[in-house]
Amino acid sequence: MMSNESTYWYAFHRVKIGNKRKNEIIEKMLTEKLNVIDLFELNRNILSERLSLDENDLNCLELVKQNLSNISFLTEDLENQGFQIISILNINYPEKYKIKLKYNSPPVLFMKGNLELLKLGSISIVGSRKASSLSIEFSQNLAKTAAKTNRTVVSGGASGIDTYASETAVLNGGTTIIILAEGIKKFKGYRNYYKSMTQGNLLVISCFDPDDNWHTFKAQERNPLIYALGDKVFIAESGEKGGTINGALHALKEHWEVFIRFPDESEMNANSLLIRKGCIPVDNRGKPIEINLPKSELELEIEVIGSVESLLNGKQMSIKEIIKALNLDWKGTKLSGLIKRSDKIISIGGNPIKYELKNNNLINKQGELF
Amino acid sequence: MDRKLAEYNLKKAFGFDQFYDEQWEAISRVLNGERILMIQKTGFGKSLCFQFPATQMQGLTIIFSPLIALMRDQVKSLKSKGIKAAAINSEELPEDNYQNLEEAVRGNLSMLYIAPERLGDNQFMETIKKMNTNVSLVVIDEAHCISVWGHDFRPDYRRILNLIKVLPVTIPIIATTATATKRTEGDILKQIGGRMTVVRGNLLRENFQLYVTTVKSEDEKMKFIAQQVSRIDGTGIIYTGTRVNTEIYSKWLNYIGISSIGYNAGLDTEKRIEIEQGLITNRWKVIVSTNALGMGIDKPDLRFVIHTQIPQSIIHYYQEIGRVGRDGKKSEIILLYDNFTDENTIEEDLKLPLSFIENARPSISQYNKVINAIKEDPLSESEIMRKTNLRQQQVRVIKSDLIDQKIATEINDNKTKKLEFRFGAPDIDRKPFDDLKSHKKEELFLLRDYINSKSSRMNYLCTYLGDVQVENIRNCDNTNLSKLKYFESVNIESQLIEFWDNFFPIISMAPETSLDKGKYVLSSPFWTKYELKINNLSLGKLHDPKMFLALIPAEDKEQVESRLIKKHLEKAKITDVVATSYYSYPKVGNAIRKSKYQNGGDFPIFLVERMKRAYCLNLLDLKIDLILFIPPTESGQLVENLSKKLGNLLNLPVLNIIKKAKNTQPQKLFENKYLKADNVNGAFALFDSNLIVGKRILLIDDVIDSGATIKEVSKLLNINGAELIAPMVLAKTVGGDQL
Ligand SMILES: Nc1ncnc2c1ncn2[C@@H]1O[C@H](COP(=O)(O)OP(=O)(O)OP(=O)(O)O)[C@@H](O)[C@H]1O
Ligand SMILES: [Mg+2]
Repeated sequence: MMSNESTYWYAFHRVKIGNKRKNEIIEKMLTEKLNVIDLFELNRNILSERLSLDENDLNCLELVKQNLSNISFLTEDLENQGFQIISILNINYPEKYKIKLKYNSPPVLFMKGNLELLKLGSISIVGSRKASSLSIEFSQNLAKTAAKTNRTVVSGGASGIDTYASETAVLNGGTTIIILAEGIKKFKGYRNYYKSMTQGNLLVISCFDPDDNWHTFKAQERNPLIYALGDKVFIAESGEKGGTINGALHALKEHWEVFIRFPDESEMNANSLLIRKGCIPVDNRGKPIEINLPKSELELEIEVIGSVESLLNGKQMSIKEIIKALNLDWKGTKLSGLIKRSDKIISIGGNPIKYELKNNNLINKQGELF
Repeated sequence: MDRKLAEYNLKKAFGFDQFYDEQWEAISRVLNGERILMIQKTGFGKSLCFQFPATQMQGLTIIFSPLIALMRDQVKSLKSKGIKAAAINSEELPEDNYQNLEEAVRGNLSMLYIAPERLGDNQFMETIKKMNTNVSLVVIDEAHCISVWGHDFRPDYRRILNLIKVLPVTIPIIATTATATKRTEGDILKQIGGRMTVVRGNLLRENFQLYVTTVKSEDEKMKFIAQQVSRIDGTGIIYTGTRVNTEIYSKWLNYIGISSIGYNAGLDTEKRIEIEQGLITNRWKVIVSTNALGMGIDKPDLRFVIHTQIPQSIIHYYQEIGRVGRDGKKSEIILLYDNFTDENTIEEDLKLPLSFIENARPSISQYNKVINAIKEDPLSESEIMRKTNLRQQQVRVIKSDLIDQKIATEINDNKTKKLEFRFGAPDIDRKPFDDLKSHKKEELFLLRDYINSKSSRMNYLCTYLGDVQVENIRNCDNTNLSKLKYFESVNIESQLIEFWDNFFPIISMAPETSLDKGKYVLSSPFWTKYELKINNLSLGKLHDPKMFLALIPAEDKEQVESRLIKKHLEKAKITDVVATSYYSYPKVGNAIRKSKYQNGGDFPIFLVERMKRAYCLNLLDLKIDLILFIPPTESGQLVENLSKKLGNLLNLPVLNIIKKAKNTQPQKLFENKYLKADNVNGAFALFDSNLIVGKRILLIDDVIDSGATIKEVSKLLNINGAELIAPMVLAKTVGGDQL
């Protein structure tokens, strides 16, 4: 695994431009048949010409390039201690991120442990740090089942639900993937999970600089990585404020399916609220419960956008035509607002404006990024 | 940069008029960003090929260097030219390392010498993170250390290879060595990979006069050396195979009036620096050294090298003899070889190197012990030693092999290095060990063939090392020179006997006190005189520690008086241990073995007399009141009777008041110092402690190994009110860890 590309990827990780832009650059690199080494070693003119890098991109790259060989010392130290630098082009990079997070995927991940776990089926379990005994029991139930059915448990490595989920999984012969809100070197749990690590039952992932300390904004930033890595996502308990609810709302906005423990009447948490917002209620074993809540706004939106997408397959239509075809009692502006948020549909102009499905050459073709 | 400009700059920075052609070839390529392996003879001037580019490039040049003495040697010479170079290593004070690293951060350094084990060290990594300047050139000096086939391969060099694998492709690298056979050369290229090319020169050293002298005993070597060293003008180095022998040979030479000093990696830093400086200024006629001075050291006018023991290979030999005659003038090089054969038909001097090779690797079950231990917890070196009862040296070998075979990783856990098991790791593979073992035997026998060879010795060396064109050079005792032999001399014979009768090793045991992270260190080996060191520099030896106060900076006086001196005087007054001999000295060792393990009765009287002499020479000033002895685990009344006989001779009372408080295992069952200390912890008690209050005690035992027993008993005597404890033993064993 050790190659001089890892130094360049580590350097690229340090370049101060957003993930979206970085992924665009990587994509461009692929079409131009360049690699990450070229990105740092070719001259500015060539880079701006072939990769359409702007002045800012180039300056940011330049800044990191000045310390490139120093970074190789850090890379060596990381790899020597068993940490791995996995770029989005690495075969071990989680496919699920590319599919679900697309351009927001972190271009570089730091990992330690058994990368094979990424190939297993998975459930993500999230919840607040202060959790009730019902929530704890819930996460333990799910983790046990996951362990028995050879699925890995994805969690955030924080105290509370995260720890119950991961520990229960490995104690029951299962595996866990922990996604950190701190740098890969700063995880406090290596000691605790030592045997899991040496037995190949653990993978730790971080998208931050290896020496970064834990921070709430980092926890926010990494929540999507937890959601996106689970085939199914379960919330044990969410407070009305804080990381869990923010993560859940974000997930719903992205139209991801999110399961949540159906709360007792007496519980003081945001579980019911989230169910109304579109999370799917489950019992304490994780089985969906039929309850008669009116469809939430969000569920409606999800339904509508799904139908629009299948309707547009191979066709170009205006808002009016769509409303008519689907027999919707919606205002045009409402629908166009919704359509704008979809990343599968684009407008192609005209009067009235028409829409069609994105001819998405980014999606999962060989040799390409997404 | 063209050669003319470069030579102009050379003159300015280094004072040399021009480059040798081969130097310029290498230098211009490095300046061009190339990666090269440079193989040139010892003393050629390889250092300039990285030092010059370093001064011409922006950014920092990192030089990996295997020997601390070598780093110091080069840094000193660069500094004297006003070039900004520094070294960081385990022997510098932490503050000094820190300061040097700060200089690097600020971009004020042009060259930084580091030992490979610095990679991954916290302080160094912090520096790299903070540094605004970039590393612009990477140098691997003595590059043969990279190859297992090369020499004494160093596990830490593996990290250099890892570094090179992740180094930006554009960074130039220069690797230099005088000793890369074709095989080693191939291996280095393979390991470093990529775009490295070779510059190889001729290895002939014309001014070397090569001799080999065979002898029939260690004593004959000592006598031979006495004669030769007096004959040859100028200064030189004697290489021995073990640390203990550096002490023995240097004391022997001093005994017969030839000034000499022993040097090895076991000495403290201050001493080593002092000797290194003395080497340069010809302070001693002879430095007796292990191969800690074996590579790279650059002094123009050493006139001779004598080996008392064959090194492990021709590569070692060529490196070590490469220290002499760097000014091109005639120099003598003598290899001593004891070819006495007993019924085993193995020549005497092959035994030690062969046993090194045989025992280089612990057994597979010992590897598995460590593997099983680290499957449970991540462990530090000392934790592994406690858990497995393996010797330190064994643990180090195992550790390095486990990392090499990807069975374990070494991590930094809160500043301690710990060994971690890798999941899915393969079983330990014996094959590389066996391959290496047979390779090393081959190498050893090739050096033995050098001894027996009948033709030009320089040709033999150069051919082995891969010289393409070997001229027929005549400058050895197989061609134009006559053999060197020891000439019987009654005088030397009797001096040697006298020497052995009065040679008493001292084992350090007395406490030291330090203040300010080791800035001030106060010690008193025999509590008759005190020595104060400031930043490792001695202020001399005085009877009263308070007298040092006049010599230290005023602002520190109060601190030193109240904290350092007071604390030191409060310490248990245990002196260094005096032994009458090393256990390996046959006359003493055999006698002890016979009494102790072969029912040979009491220790013979000559051993008691040796003790008396050792006492009179070292301990008379201490005004001892009485003798105590350590109660035995196994060997009955041997030590008691020894003590009584000694008491008679010295006219001192002998008290039998130390007893066992619990049953202990024989210390020899425990392989390392931690477990030995655990075994005897709380194991002793006193029948009657009143008898020792305020007394100055001579404490007797037969053999000292780790010193744990003596430490434990001394502690007990101290808390029960003894005034001073001076331990004395018949013999000191030399374990594998101290060779
Ligand atoms: N161009 C030059 N002109 C004059 N003297 C030189 C020149 N180059 C090097 N020297 C001198 O040659 C001596 C030996 O150099 P150096 O220590 O670099 O040898 P080396 O090749 O590294 O040998 P070793 O293999 O023993 O380490 C030094 O004292 C150095 O100053
Ligand atoms: Mg050199």
